[in-house]
Amino acid sequence: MKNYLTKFACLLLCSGFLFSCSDDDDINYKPDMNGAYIFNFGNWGAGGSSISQFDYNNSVMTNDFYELVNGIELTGNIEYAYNYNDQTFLLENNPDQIITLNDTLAQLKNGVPLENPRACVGNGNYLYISCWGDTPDWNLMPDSYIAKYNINTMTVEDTIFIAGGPEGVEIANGKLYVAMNFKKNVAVINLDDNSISYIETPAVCSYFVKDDDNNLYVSFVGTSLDPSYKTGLGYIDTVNDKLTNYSLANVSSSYSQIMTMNNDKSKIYVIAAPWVKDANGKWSMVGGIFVFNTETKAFEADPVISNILGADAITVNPENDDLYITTSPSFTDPGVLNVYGSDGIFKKTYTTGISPNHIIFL
Amino acid sequence: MMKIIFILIGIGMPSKLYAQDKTVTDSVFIHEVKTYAKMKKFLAATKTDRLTESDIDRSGDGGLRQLLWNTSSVYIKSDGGTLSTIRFRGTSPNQTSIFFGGIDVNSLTLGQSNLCNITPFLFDYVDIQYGSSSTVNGSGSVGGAIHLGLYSLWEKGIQVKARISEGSYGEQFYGTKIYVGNGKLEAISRMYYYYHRNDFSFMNNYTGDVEHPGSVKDYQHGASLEKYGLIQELNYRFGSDEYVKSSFWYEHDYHQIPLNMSSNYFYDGDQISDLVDKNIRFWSEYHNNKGKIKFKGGLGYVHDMETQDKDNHGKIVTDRLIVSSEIKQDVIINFGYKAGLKYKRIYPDVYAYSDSIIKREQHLDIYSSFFYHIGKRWKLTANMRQLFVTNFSAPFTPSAGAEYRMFSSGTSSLLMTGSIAGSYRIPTFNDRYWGTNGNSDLKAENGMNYEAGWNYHLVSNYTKVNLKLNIFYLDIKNWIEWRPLGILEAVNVGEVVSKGIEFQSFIQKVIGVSKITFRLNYTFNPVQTVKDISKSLVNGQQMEYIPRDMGNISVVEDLNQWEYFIQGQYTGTRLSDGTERKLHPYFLVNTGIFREIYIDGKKIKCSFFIENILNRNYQNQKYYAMPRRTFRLSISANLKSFNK
Repeated sequence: MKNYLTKFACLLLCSGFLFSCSDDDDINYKPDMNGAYIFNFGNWGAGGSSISQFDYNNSVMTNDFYELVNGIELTGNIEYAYNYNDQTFLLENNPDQIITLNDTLAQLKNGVPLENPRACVGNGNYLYISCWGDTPDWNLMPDSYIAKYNINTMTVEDTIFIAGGPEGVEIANGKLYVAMNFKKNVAVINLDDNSISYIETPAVCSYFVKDDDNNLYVSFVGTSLDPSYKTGLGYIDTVNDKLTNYSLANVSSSYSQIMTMNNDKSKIYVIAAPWVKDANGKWSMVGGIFVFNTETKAFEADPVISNILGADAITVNPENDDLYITTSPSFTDPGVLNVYGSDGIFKKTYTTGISPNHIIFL
Repeated sequence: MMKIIFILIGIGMPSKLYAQDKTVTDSVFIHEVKTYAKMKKFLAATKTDRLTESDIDRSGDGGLRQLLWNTSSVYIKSDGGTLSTIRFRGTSPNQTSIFFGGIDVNSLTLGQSNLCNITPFLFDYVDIQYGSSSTVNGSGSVGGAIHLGLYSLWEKGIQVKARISEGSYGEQFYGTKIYVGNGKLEAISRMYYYYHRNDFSFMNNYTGDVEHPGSVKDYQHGASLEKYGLIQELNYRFGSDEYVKSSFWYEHDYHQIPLNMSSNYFYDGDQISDLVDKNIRFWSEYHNNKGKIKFKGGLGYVHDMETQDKDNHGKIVTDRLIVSSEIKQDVIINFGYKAGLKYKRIYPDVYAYSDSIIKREQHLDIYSSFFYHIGKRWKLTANMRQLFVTNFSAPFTPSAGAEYRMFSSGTSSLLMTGSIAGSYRIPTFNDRYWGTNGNSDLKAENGMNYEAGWNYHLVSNYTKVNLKLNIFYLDIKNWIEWRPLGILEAVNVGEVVSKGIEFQSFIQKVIGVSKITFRLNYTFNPVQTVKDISKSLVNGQQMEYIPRDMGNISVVEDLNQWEYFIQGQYTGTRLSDGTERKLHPYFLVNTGIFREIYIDGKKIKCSFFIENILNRNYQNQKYYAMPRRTFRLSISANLKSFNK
């Protein structure tokens, strides 16, 4: 009897130990995820991608957060990050794939291969993902397309070919709007029949933001292959797809979060670097954050924040309207997150990973 | 480390000791001394190593990458064997010039060369010139320079050399050199074909596979190479002091762009990007040494073309025409000078350059050099150079060097050297003209190299020793990098200082019939940014992809018709980016055996090599695997018939 009791006690201890180490517990454990998550692109082709967690309530930055949660490094380059239906989707290059993270940013399944994914938007059970194709022809991008990705089955169910290098995507009024980055168009895809029409633009385009009326603002940029000077913002009335242009010199052509709306959607903050003549008559490029007033439909004369070169991403804290701006000193060194008040007054700076390109609040 | 050295020496030691006259490694020593004399005439204190045909034979067929890797302590960054770039004394790849005659073979658009695309078999020797030498070599020779050399034989007769190699992972090499001459006129053809499937195995630790974590055995995809080349020389000697030498080099290089380890793991057969480079290089040089004033004139043409993924719209083409002339005179026995001009006319044809900004560019170099000997102990040299470039201001560049013979007996000598050398690099065409990203306001990179060295020689009947110790301090201002500053742009970001100690040893001992050659090279090279437009980057960190410690060791034993060698190569920790990510240090061992056989008096040489015999997994670029143990079997023949 004594023997049985001893064995039972041992079993009880062992089982306690096993339960305490079980995967279920890890999954069920839900850390406080409240914060800003910075997705660092890394160094092209040589990894270095990472996620930084910024706990703004306690002013604590935790770098390499993905590694911390998942125990492995991100070996590719995060091109785009998107939060939808309590999941975070990473569009990654080198390897080209979509990675799904759960609400604690844990990756439980392998990524799904895609061909040069660029940006995405959610609609029902689907993500519409712009892709440049397997081996892009950098002049015309004839093989680029939109992949329709089922987030439940984790498969690409359909592709809509659309030449010209699709970049930012947005959905409004049952239509998918695609910012074309290698030709001067916004493509409009009717999601009922996949028919495509085009809106002519003064320059190539990069990303969208959407207002409360389901109308869109699109960024016009100059790229090294299409060096247009007619940069700025375009306003698309999504009922009739009429475009109105608002010019702003040298809007950032970075493939990152170059513009954002504030919380009441009265302002759009845009990263740009116009040429400015100083007192000695010398021209130099001065980077800043420019403000577009969505009510007056005009840019404010002066930037809310000036003299920042190398800005990658901008977003607004949904709780307090603080401006979060990331910058990179180079392609291989850690970037920084600069926090400003909504009035443009600098508050504090924090070190991030390499090339902090996107910020999401969870 | 000492254990490894003793093991290597032990393996290399002969079991039988006999007296023997034949030497393979003699040439190493003699050529080195000759090279010193020629190169140092106007550039005292310059450190130069000559890599001979035996070094080339021992270093495989893949490219200059392998040769430098095995014989020098110069770091090569490589992505799996298809793209390799040089980091000479802590500098960037476009701060090292690579010369073929009077042509710098570096791409004018990128400013650098892929060392995999330069096949040492085509050349008779490779000279490595350490430190700044812009005053004699021109723009770009900031960290060092490499000279690809061809010998003239001026013999009457025919010589045919041929080499065939088969190696692991589909490596094939076929090369031949054919010499025909009558003592006055000689034609030398050198050609080769090389293919490497290069699908080597490695342990993949970076799969990104969260469902099956851990490392797995993987095979590299997308790292194949195929290349062929031809050098045709035609040389004519009017007399003992007057000759003209011409060489035409055609090179065709194809290579895939390898997948990093994670992409490789998930590779599902998609098309892999590739790069094709086609180069035509012609250089002709006339020498007239008959009079007191010696004259040299050169004429060259270069056509470089690169395409990616067979996209002809994205072609990158440059054409260059080069004309040079130089006079040289030893005014008295202990004083001489040389002066020259070099003119280049360059036509770029690059899809991202605007014709309204750049149609052509002209460069004119004017230079002069002087030497002065004081007694038998002192030698002083001075050089100056000024480059003029269309719409660009290049700095005036001086250099001065001194050598002091501390002692010299019949068998040994100790030389102390010191130099101060300016250097410069004008920005590449891409830096200045690439779309809206090029920056026409860039300044030339401007370096200053301070160097001191000690060089000890001992030559006795059975022993030869050469020990070199150099310390250097290289300060490069206006360092150019591409940065994301509003737009992606080439900018002068600041100043970098590279310091170092280099030790090189060569010990050769004849013991009976056996000759043993031992070499040990070690470099300690801290490199730091000292000024930067972004203050956060002045943080005392070692520059990325520059090992602070690096060294190699080799033992060669020459015994009758046999030759054995074993090499060890150590590369220290490297930072892969500005975060804490590092590439682990590694020690590789290569070995090989040669056997000479004679068939009807014709020499055939068979060799068998094993590289990375310890089967190490290692990386030279973050997330790119390098091959583990590989084998290669080579047969080379040297058939000659010269009339005395």
